Amino acid sequence: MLASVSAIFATTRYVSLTGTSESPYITPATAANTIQDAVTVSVTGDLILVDNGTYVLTTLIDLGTKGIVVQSMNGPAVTIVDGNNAVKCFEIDHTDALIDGFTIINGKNLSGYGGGVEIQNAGTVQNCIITNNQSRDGGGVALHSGGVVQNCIVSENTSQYGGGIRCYNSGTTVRNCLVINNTTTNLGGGINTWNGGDIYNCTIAHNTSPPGNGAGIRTRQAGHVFNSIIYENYNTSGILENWDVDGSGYTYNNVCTVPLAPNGSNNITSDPNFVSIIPGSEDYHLQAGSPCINTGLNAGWMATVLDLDGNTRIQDVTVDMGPYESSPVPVDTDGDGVPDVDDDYPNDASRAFNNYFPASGYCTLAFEDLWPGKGDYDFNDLVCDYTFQTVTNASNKVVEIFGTFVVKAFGASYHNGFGFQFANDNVSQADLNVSGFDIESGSYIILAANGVESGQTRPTIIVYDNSFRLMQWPGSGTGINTVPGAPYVTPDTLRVTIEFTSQTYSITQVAIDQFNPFIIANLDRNVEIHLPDKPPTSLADLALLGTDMDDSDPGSGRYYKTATNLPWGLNFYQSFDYPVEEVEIVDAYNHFVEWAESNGLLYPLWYEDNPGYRNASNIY
Amino acid sequence: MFVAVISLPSCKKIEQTHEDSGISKRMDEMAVNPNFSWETSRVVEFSLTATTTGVVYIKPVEGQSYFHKGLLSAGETYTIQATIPSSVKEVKLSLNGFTCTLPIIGNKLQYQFN
Repeated sequence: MLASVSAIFATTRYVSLTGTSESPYITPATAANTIQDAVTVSVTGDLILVDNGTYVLTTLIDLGTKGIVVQSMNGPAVTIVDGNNAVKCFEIDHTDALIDGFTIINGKNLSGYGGGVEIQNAGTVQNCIITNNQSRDGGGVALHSGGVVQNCIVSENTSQYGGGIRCYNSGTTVRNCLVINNTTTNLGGGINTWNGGDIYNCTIAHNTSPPGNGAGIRTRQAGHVFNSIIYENYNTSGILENWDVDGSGYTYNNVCTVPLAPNGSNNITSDPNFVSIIPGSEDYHLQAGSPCINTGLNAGWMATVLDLDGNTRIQDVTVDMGPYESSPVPVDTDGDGVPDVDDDYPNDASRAFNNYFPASGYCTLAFEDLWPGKGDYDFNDLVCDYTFQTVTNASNKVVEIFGTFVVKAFGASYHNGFGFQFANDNVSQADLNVSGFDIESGSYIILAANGVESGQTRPTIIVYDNSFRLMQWPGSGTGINTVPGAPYVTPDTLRVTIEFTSQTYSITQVAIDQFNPFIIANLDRNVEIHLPDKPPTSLADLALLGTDMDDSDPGSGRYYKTATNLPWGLNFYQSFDYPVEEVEIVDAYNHFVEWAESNGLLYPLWYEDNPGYRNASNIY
Repeated sequence: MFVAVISLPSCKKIEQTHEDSGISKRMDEMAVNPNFSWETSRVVEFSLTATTTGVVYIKPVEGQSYFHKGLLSAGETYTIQATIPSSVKEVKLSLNGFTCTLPIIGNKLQYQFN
């Protein structure tokens, strides 16, 4: 494929099977019904746009010596010029003449040049499918004394000289074409060159000719073949006969064929490794590792002409052989199957990806700590930002998790601990090694040798056991960083590492983003306070559930809610600016009530700093 | 608000009950559905397939961050759960240079890359 025509044209004319055919055909409504009608009134520099449809010809479309562009609107799949097995389809003869984007079929010219198209001295045919045409010279296309055929599929044409294409003299060029399944009754099944013709980056395959006449290509005298693959062409006796030559002056360079092509350099005989050559499902793209990749010879035209798929012609310094350019093989330094460009650990085969929760920045946990008693709903008895970085390997299995916890504030007199439990029973505790927590020697927290909390049925990690040991009380205010005017204490950051010794768990099985965080109230391991509807761990005193203000009902999966459904903790998908001490959250955030009472439908981002959302004086 | 300006006694009364005054209800005055989750995020299950192997990204519609990144193998269904903000209604999926934006309807999203 080539880029769309973008030149400035003198006049644009239209062709459509449904137009009113009013000359000069300059609107889609008044479009000509035949291409020839539009050509007749055109002059050099005009553009003719052809609508979808099958245009069955009774006479040749002859551009004469006009430099006209005849272009389909929507490509060859839906724009067909049919010679009806009676006439040649196109003839052009001007440097600026261009036939672009048609299926050219059933052209017939048994006594002359070109069944589908004849290019006399100049002109270009591109982006066409040229098939089932027949002639004496060049069943699909004949280039008489100049012209270019590029980015075309030329298939199943027949002729005496050049079943698919005939280049008759020097100055004729064929490039980026797939020339397949053509037949000659004499010389050159796919292509025949005579006294000239430059063939670049073509794949010529499965064509046929009589024995000794070049089933794939026949070059005589000054024919030059570059960067092409000539493969699996058999003569009518069933003998492999990819090429034939005659006379002198012909050259073959950077050509893949069997036997080795003559008169040139960098020719190879290797299997080109097409994607498929199975009859009926042929695919002439190159497989990764093909010897035809990056082994062509670069030329200037490749900077402006795309390959047959519409991709950049040179993608990795050196052009490929054939019409299809392969994408560069991605670099994968550690060989784990993940290209370096996507691999967060390109030099480490045991790691591939970082997944972050949240996607960026931090989440925040905000707790009340008087459970099962009622709190003051300032949600600042613990305010902890957190993020999880989950590292997975190329098999999408978790290698390790880094949890970062930033204790920003605790408006509490209680000495609280903080931890979290995995969301499910998928992960065996024995498969973990945990480090980075802050637990005092002799603490009320008992750990197993691998760092998880002892006595739990599900992996549980205690991040710290006593908030007041992490951050020193400044001597005024309630707790840390909740009372304006009291000295500010730098938040404490803990980085917990959870190593997976058995890398058999997917990120979904581990589900660290669905973890179950909790605080341990006032150094009493029996008293856990969780987010609403998150269950207590094995070490919590279940007898406390349902007492005082708590309205938990384990039988229905209801936990840590009051009888009026209020929580003791909140979890935010972004960093949360918490209320100052003893200020209810409803007095800090104007839309909190609407959010909660609407079941989350109204003001889902009530905690953001949008106009009218906050009472800034009530936020620390 | 006009009524509040000309009727101060009423205003005082209203202020005490936090109705129609711009002052929120207290926490204890809220009527919250027993099933309300109090979550600001939700879990979405993605089931993705493709005819070519590649690294798949699940991203917000804007920005450079991503909700998930993993290796999708050709012909295999890649199923993962990811927690995303409750307010996110669309995500961007990308694989091997192809990108599309899809709405999240419910808590599951299936997509086949061609």
